[in-house]
Amino acid sequence: MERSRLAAYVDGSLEPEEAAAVVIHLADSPEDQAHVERLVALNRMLTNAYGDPVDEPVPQAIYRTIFPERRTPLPDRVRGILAEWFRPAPLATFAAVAVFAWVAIDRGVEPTDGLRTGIVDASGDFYAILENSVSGWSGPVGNSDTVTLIAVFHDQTGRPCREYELQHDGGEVMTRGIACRDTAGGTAAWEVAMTASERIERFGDGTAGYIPADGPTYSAVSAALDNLGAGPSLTPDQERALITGGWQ
Amino acid sequence: MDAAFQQDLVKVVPRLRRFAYALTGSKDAGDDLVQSACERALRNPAAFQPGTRLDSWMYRIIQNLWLDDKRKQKVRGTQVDADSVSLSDQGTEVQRLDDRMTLAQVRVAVEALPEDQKSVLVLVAIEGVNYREAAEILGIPVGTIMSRLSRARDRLLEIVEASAANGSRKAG
Repeated sequence: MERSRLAAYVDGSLEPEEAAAVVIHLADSPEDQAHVERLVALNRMLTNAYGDPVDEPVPQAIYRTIFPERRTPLPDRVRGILAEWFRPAPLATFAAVAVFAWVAIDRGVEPTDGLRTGIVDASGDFYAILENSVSGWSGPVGNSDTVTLIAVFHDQTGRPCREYELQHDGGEVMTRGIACRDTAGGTAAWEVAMTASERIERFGDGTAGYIPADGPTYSAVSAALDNLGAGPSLTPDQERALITGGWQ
Repeated sequence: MDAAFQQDLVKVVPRLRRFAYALTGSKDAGDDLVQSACERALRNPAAFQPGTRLDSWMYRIIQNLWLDDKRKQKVRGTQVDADSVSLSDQGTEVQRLDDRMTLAQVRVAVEALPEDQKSVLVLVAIEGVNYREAAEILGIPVGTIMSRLSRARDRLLEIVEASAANGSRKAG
């Protein structure tokens, strides 16, 4: 069979009946079958060689070209949110706070409770809080953790996302996270896209430390917002309307 | 500005970036190309015909911008930046060093192809566009698509299979 026809078969450019004829031919032609396999392997190799951009977030420069009205500088936005949130926080011990941070990059297969990335258990209380509570809400979640909702924004694909904080491990660790609501397939699901945690060490007098607004998790959250192409935070009225409207 | 058009555009950006990366041989140059193409598209969104494929329209804009750019810098010759030969697919299915070396060689070989062959190869073999669509995007007959594709593949297969043969000899 002509090589051009075999190539057209590999490239999906034949009509169904033509493709069927090629399939029948290949069954009796090992030589042409080998050639088809070479072409398939080459296509796969080419896709692998240039495949990275497909798995990467849209670069900020391109995103801002498409959405010039969302030009809010993200670092300033994050700084504003964090400054707002930390204003009432107890700043008892300023001097010696040892902080370490880690960023969760694994995607667990078990439903997440907000402390790591992954799909949130739809039957759990964390899911209900994400789904129904407004930013600024703070309360218990899980056995002894405390979650505080910080802000709602839309990512570059239009999904609503929430920033939150979880205080856990006896109040010794603060985890910041971002969860986005996906409705692909017709079913709503909250997925934690990133988490970053800082351990707050207590000192001699037992007073609690604090997490600085420009600490390690600040950078992690900022980078994640950048990668998600986060738009401006919604106003309280916009947020309430979104929640009461079922996130539509 | 039409929000739906913006949303549709941002959704095709990953594939546009791959297309531009393969054309230019550089992620940075490819991103610049995509950005320019988006600027051009957004300046005149009415030029896009609803009901047709947005990605095909954008491929055509990118291709035209790339050719314009190539004409302007024709004397510069081919260059492949470090990114294009980097082992950037770490953690994916292609993990063996030999395979990654081959991918780097493939990128160099694609970069060395004549521009007309490269456009066709990238659209069809990487972007999965069929011959008829590729012909519309590039404004050439389907027969020309097939002949350019054939020449490009012959050249690449020669390189890849020579590389594989060398690898086998070393292993033996």
